[in-house]
Order: sequence, then structure tokens, then C-alpha cells
Amino acid sequence: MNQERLRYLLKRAGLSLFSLWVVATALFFAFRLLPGNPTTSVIAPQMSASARAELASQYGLNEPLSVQYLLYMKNLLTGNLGVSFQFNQPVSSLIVPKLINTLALTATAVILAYIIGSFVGAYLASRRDSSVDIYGTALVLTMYAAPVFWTGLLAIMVFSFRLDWLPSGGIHSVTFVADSFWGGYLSVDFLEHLVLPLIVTTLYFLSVPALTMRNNMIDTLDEDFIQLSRAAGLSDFSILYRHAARNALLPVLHYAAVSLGFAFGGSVVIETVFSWPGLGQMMFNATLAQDFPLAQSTFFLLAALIIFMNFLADALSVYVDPRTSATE
Amino acid sequence: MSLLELRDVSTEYTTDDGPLRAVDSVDLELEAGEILGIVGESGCGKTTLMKTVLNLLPTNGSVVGGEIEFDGRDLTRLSKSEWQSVRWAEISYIIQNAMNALDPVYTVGTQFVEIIRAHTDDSKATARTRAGDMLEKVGIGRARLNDYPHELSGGQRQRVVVALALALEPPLIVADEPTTGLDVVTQEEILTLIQDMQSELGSAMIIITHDISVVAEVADRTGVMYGGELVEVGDTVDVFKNSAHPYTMGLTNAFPSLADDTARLVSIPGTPPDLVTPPEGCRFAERCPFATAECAEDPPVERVGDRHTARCHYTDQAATFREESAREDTWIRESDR
Amino acid sequence: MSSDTLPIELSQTRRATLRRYRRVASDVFAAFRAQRSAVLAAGVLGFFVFLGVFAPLIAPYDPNREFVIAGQAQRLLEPSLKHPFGTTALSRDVFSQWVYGSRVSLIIGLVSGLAVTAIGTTVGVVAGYYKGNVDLVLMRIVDIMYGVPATPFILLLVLFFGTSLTNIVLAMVFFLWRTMARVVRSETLSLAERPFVKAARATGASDVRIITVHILPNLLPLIMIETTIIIAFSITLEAGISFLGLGATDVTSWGTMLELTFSSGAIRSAWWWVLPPGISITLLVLAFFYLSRVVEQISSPDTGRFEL
Repeated sequence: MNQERLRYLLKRAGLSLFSLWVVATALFFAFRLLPGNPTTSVIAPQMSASARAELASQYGLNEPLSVQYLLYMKNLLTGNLGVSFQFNQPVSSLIVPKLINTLALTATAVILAYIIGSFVGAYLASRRDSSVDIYGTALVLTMYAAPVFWTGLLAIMVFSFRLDWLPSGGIHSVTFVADSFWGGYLSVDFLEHLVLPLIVTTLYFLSVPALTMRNNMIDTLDEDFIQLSRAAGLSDFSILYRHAARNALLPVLHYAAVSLGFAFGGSVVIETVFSWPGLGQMMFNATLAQDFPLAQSTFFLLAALIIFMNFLADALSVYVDPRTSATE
Repeated sequence: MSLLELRDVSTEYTTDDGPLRAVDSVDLELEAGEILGIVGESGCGKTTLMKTVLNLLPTNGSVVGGEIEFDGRDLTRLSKSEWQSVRWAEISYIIQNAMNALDPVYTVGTQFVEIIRAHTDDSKATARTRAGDMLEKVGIGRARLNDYPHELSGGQRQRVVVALALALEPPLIVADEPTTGLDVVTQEEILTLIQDMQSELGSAMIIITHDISVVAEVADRTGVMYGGELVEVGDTVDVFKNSAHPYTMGLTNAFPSLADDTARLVSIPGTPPDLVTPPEGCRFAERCPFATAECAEDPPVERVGDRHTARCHYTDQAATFREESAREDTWIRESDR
Repeated sequence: MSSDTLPIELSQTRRATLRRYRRVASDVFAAFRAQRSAVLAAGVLGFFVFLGVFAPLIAPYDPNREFVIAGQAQRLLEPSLKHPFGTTALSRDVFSQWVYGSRVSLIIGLVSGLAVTAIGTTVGVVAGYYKGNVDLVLMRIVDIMYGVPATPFILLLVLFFGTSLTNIVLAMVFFLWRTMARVVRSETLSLAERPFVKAARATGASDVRIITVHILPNLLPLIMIETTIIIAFSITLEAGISFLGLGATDVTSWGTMLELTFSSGAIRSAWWWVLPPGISITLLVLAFFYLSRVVEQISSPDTGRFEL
């Protein structure tokens, strides 16, 4: 990796950290601006006096705002995310398992969607303007237009309730007992619960790569170097995949990381439909229960994930396309 | 025996407004080692003719008539796999704009080797050496094999494109506007390069261009296209000094010459015909100062010299026409007077 | 409509600009009619607009009316002549709710779309035209906005400010303008480099003049495309928020209908209740997608492709 590219990456990394900092600071002020006592965001109404006093010192609640802010940032950086009102446990211990659940569903879905979607897009482009293309594109668009929670509802309606093939929600059956932490994930029971939400989510995220790939392929196939490859007698397969698809894929990869970011944001809805105990569902419940530390931390974690994904997208662009850093 | 012979070749594009006949009944022949230049203004069909010969027509284009005989085979009847063996090894192509001619995600070397190995049994190493040799020949160092296309200048990319076209030493090379868009100095360099390479290899060449000075300098034979038809073809000297078609005469007068002491350039008023609904009879009649009522009939292809033909009713009056066409007022139309 | 009939005196430039805007828009509408998918999309859109506008006349009942016959609550009835789409778990007529629901979706979509267009275009044009520090600052803001997750953010807003239609719209606009800004900025950057802009500057035209007379008309196709897409996304986003139960409590939207199907467990059987709102959301969003596609095809006829 040469100088130029490295410099570009460092610049993007710096910007990402800056964004993260802004979000953290905004959260700090937002939660302080809550109606009522500024201490509401960290102290639950039902806490004992001694617990309150302890928290007060930890968060410097009796100190001026600037000191509070510094304490807040220090806590954030050391992973001290406060104590949940609902569960009376440190937030950090609650979040980790949820994060894994969200990743298991969301990351898998987006990766699958992009792999399948790219092939679909390339195929549609090769059949451009034929009825396969027109109806295929319409189908892909429909999958995107249909709200993902609705398709989820339909899937549950048909496959869970009507046909009784698959469970309707959650990650494990009530009777399931995991032999270990990871054993729980590698079980058939988990997979059974994963199938429906995974398919629904994948189908939804399939559209962007399919359409982007299709567009890019159509553009790329018009390029001079494709003409030259044709004139030079390279095989159709070689032209389509080695050259056209490889070029067309670059923006798609960039979107992959961005889509993953979106998926994290949208996890709230998907996890609600399938009662999937992930970050999204946790944030949703925390909001309803007015569990401020939990809500704040989950939000921050989601934002951090998205910012990281955006940075990853930039890094991927630089790595895959030799020209990127040159044009920034 | 000619290397390449086109007989009554016609190519059409299907458009929303109906079929567009971009190439109409073209007869052409090319001997081995000869350089043929095809000239004409934009839209005259020369690019389509080239794509027809190379079988690079877009999906809405097709050959609707005639045969193209190359080395004993009819190119219009070849299957896809048969074409694969013809491409590059037999007929190669110097692309017009080299800026985007190479795949930006692979190095020059990788693409070069890929093309060589698609047609030979060379190992990767052999192909790479061969590629390096070609680059050296066109004046770019072997080291460039490891560079990406965007790391090369426009002129260097053009040379790579020439090197690629020559790599397999094909008997026929088609060059599409090789000098268009280049500055005069680079033009000269590329032309010289192409000439040198061609004479060294002994390949035949077809050069498509709208710049007749290129053709005048380099081509043994010249074909003039107008409105999809080949209106004149012959040895270059004959075509320009003894033009037999009014359009050619107009062309030669329209190009400036440093040696000439003509004060003003004479241009041809009017615009090319619409090829979806071409005019009846001679396509040039509308702009021709010598047109008569007879020109509403399709003009025959007349022989005016040794390997020199023109599509006109009045080839016998060519000499008179040449004189008159040199005068500016000949071209001023009645309607414009 | 010639300038002679205009009630106001316009300068020559203004008239030319007006003509330019009108020409762009009329190009779009003229070629529009030639595309079959466009006509279909417009038809769908027209249908739902019709539904929304004439809701009180089309819906047979008040959407909130609970049906009780002889002490029996008419819950979860299958479709019948009396209730073409059946009834909900709260004994309400699904069809009536569905008809009224179109109002909410359309209003939210349009209002959000227009607001996003206004804000996003302004920011984008200013950033793209003036460049330099202004651009830097504005784009950093946009970058940060891109780091914020949509639904969680809206959740937080609801946490602080409660649910209401206005709040939801404000939240969505706050979140959605970033895409518009980026897209408009990018296009403005390249437009500002074009010869005709440089020529205008050379003749001493003011910035405002250049922007309104030269840049904005050329941005029009792009803006139209983006706006239709934003409207489509707004509709989906609103549905999602309502589905989570955070929607406006005073009106029934399609999303709200679906929320109840879920929370009442009616999805076990009540297909007549689950299908219509989802289908209509899908159709409406699709219509907007195809409309934007048509505009895109028209403004760049050589590409003939669709971008989301």
C-alpha cells in the first residue's frame, strides 16, 4: 500500500473518530437536556440513597458541566456504560450477548444478500432489456419496496402459523438448553430460528446490490476496454466476469459496508417482528421502559458500528480500486 | 488472390424510427501487405463498416447482405467459436481512444499476457517476455508491464494499444481513427510508429479516418464513403489527383495545404442524408453542383482506371468537374445565391 | 402561455430562465407518456391520491367505529359484503381504515419529500458552488449525519419529545436530508466547472444569478429523481415507525394497522387484515420508484438504467 493510499485512509479514519466523538458529545448533551432533573439519565428513581451518592460521585453529578463531560468521556473510553435501570446490571455486560445476536442475523443477511445480489445483477445486465430483465428488475424492486417488517409478518403467517414448519420468533425454543455459550449458536434449534428472519432480511437487502451491479455492468459493458477485449477474442466468460464484473463490483463492495451500517440501524424493526434478542430490540425496549443508560449506550454502540462500517467501505474502495486515493 | 474482399456488403441497425442502413452495397478488396484508408465525414458509415469487418456490431446491428471473404472464409457466416480463432491472431484492431482502452483494475502486463495466451499456447512466462518485447518495440520500456493503465500517459497508452494489436503478427490490422484527438506532434509519432511496424510485419492495414491528410500520407489505396456508400475507391494518388466523384473533389478542396497558394478553403454546403429514409438515386445529388435529373437514378459503379472505381453517372466528365470544383463559386448553391 | 399575458413584467433573463425551467419540466412530462411503466406508476399514484382525497366518500364507515351486533363484538371477521376487507381485532372495518390510511402515507411522504428537497438542495448547492471552507464544514456535518442510525435516532427523539405526526415528520426530515445534500453537491460541483457557468462569471453575473439561472435548472432532473425516491423512503420509514408503535396516535396509518395485527397476535389467521396495508405500501413505494426511474431515463436517455 503506497503513501498516497495510506494518507487517504488515515484521513478517513480521523474523520470517523471525529464523527464518533460528535455523536458521543451530542448524546451527552441530549440526555442532560431531559426534562426534569439532570441526574435522571443515570439515576433510577428507585435507587437507594447510598447508591445514588455513589453514582453521583462516579459521574460527578455535583460537579460543573465540564467536569461531568470529562468523566463521561473517560467512562465511555473505559467501557463503563452505566447501570441499567431495568435490570440493575452493568450495561456493558448486557450488551455483548445482544451484539452477537444482532451480528449473527444482520451480518449474515447482508453478506448473503450481497453475494447473491451481485450475481443476480450481473445476470440481469447480461440479459438487458429482455423480458427476463424487465420482470426480474420489477421483482427485485418489489422486494425492496415491500416493508421488511411486513414481509416478515407474512413469512411468519405462512411458514409458522399456517404450515408450522418454522418457529415464529426468538432465537431458541423455550425448552432448549444450551450446553455452552457457543453451543447455543451452533445448534439446530438456533438455525431453525434463524432461517425465517435470515431469508426475509436477505431478500430485502438483495435489491441494492442487484440493481447497482446491473447498472454498473451495463455501463461497464459499454466501456472501450470491453470493446477491446471482444475484438481481442477473449471468451464471453472472461469478458463478463474477469473484466466487466470486476470493474462493476467495486461500487457494490462499497455499498456492502454501507448497507451493513443501515442494517444495524434497521435491526430495531426486524428484531421486533421476530422477537430476536439483539441490539435493536434491546434499544427499543429500553426506550419504552425509559431505561436511559441502556438506551443511550445501545444507541452509541449502533452509531459506532455504522461509523465503522462507513470507514470500512472507504478502506475497501481504496484496496480494490487502484484509482480511488488518486481522485480524492 | 486478395486477402480481404467485400462483395455487396450491407449493414443495418434497428432503431425506434425503423431500420437504418449504415452501410449499403459496399464492394472492396485488399491485397496482402496493402494499406487501405477509408475516409468520410461523421455518419458516413465508415465506423460501421469497420465494425462489420471486425464483427463488433452492437446488438441492434446486423449484416443484411453480401459476403466478406477473408483468407478463403466468409466472415459473415462464421460461428462464434470460429470467430474467436480469427480474432487478433488473424485480424487485430487499434482502438480509437486509448485513454480507456485498458482495464483499469489489471496491470498492463496482465492484460497483455491474457490476450496473448487466449490465442497461443505460450506459457505465462513466454507470453510475458513477448509482451515485454512488444513494449520495447513501440518505445515503452519493459518495466511498464507492472504498471496500471492510469499510471501511463495518453501517448503511452496509445503505444500499448498499438503494441497489443501487433503482438500476434496478424495479417490484417484495422486502425480506428488512430490520430484523432492527438496533438500534431503525437499524431506524427503514432503514424510513423504504425507505418514502421506495418512495414516490418508486412501486415495489411485498414485505416479509418476523417482526416485525409493521414490517408494521403500513409495509405496505398483509399476508399471514400458517403451516406453509407463507397463512392470512390482506388490507389491513393489516383483518388486524390484524378478524383472521379464530385464528393472526393469537394473533400480534397476542403483540406488546407501548406504548399498550396489557394487563398480560401472551399467547403461543401449542406448536410449528409438521413440513412433511415435515404434519398432515391445518388445520395450526394442534393449537395452536388453537377447534379442533373438523371441523378435521381442510382448511379452505377464505373471503372475509371486501373483498380479505380467511382459511383457516378458522369465519370467521363471527371476532368472537367475537377477543374470546376476547384473554384469556390461552383459550390455556392442556387438557394444561397 | 406567452409573457404577454403574464401579469408581472419580467426581465429578459427571467423570462429565459422561466422558459428553461418550463422546458425541462415539459420534456419530462412529454416523454413520460411514452413509457408504459410510467403511465402505470402514475395510475397507481393517482389511485391512492384519489383514495386519500375522497376518503370520507369512499370509506363506508368511520374507521374508528367498533361494530357490535346484539352484544357480540364483530372481531376478526373474514371479508364479506358488509366488510369487504373484514374486521380488526377491535371490531373495526379494515377497508375504511385502509382508505383513510392512504391519506397519512401520502401526506407524510409529500411533506417529508418537499422538506428534504428544500433543505438538501440548499445545503448541496451552497457546498458545491462555494466550495472551500463552507463545503468542508457542511460536508463534515453530512458525514456525521451518515453515522447516525435512522430508527434508533427516531426512537431517541420519541423518547424525548413524545409521539405526534409533526414530530415524526421532523425526525424523518432531519434524518433524510443528508442524501439529498450529498447528491446535489456532487452534481453542483461538476456543473460549476462547465463552460457556460464560467462564461457567466466572466460577464460579471452575480452568484445568486448564476445559481438560479444556470445551475438550478440543470439540477432539476436530478432533484426530481431524488425527491421521488425520498418520498418513497419516507413512506416506508413512517410505516416502520408506526409499526413499532411510535407512530402518531391520533391518526390511523397503514403502519399503525400492521402494528395492531402484530401486537394482537392476529397474524395467526387474519390475512385480510395483514395483506391490504402492506400491499398498498409496496405499490405506492414501487410507483414512486418507477416514476423516478422514468425521470432518470428521460434526463439521460442514453443510459436507460435505474438507480436507487
